[in-house]
Amino acid sequence: MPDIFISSQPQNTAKKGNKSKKVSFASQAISSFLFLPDGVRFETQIPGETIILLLRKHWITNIAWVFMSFVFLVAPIFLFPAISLGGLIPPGFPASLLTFSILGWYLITFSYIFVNFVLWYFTVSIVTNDRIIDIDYINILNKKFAETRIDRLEDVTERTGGFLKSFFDYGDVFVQTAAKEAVFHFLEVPHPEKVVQIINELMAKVKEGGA
Amino acid sequence: MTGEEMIKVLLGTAPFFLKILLLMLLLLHVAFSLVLVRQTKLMIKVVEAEISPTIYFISVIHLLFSTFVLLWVIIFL
Repeated sequence: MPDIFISSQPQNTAKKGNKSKKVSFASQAISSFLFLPDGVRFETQIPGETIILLLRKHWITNIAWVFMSFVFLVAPIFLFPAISLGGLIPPGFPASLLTFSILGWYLITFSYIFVNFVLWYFTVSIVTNDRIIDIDYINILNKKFAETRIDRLEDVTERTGGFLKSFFDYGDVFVQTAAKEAVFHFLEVPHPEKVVQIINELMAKVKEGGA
Repeated sequence: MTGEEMIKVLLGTAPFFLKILLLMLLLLHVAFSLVLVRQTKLMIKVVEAEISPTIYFISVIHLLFSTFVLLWVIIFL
């Protein structure tokens, strides 16, 4: 069994040189599957605790709001000239109101993009060498935080299906703990089979250590 | 007051009410932006990464943009 603590492909690790550092920064910023991430910490992390996996929803799950954002961004470029040329603006319509329409439109678009990005970015599932942590932001004001120790885990299952999930290799991972009805849902995460494998290896390692 | 006079009065006061309505909506948006800045600050404490200061900076830019639009409406509309 390969040792998960020894990464064969050290991903997201800053290499020597500025160029590779920039690549690492950019990829880490938008990555949804980080194995042994570098430069990432979480609030309740205790000294000596290592983040093995940091998971977010697969980037393809953002396609709907990214597409809508693109539409919102480019729409005024076509919409306002079309309205103007079509004579739909009544004579005497104040120019300041038209300017406000454009400003207001981009303000709402900015809010829409930022809120969606933040919700995606900070909704994470973290697997450390000691614990599993699930942080869900239902909306900007509501957070759900759950954690359990690796030695309390009983069963890990994955579920994939459908064209998109198969094509982009993402799915759901369910982690059952010893407590009644305590199930951790890692929804729409990339490489679910790898996640299951890593958690299983961690469970085995913890059991070996405890035995 | 005749019907025609009433319409004239309504048309005359409409921009004023529109401005009040827009100001109220924009004040709500500024409040929302403030909440967003505060929440982003809390979020970046929960998961700290290299990109965290950038995200916080964007939330501040968002608040500034919201305030700018509010001030613009007060001054120019």
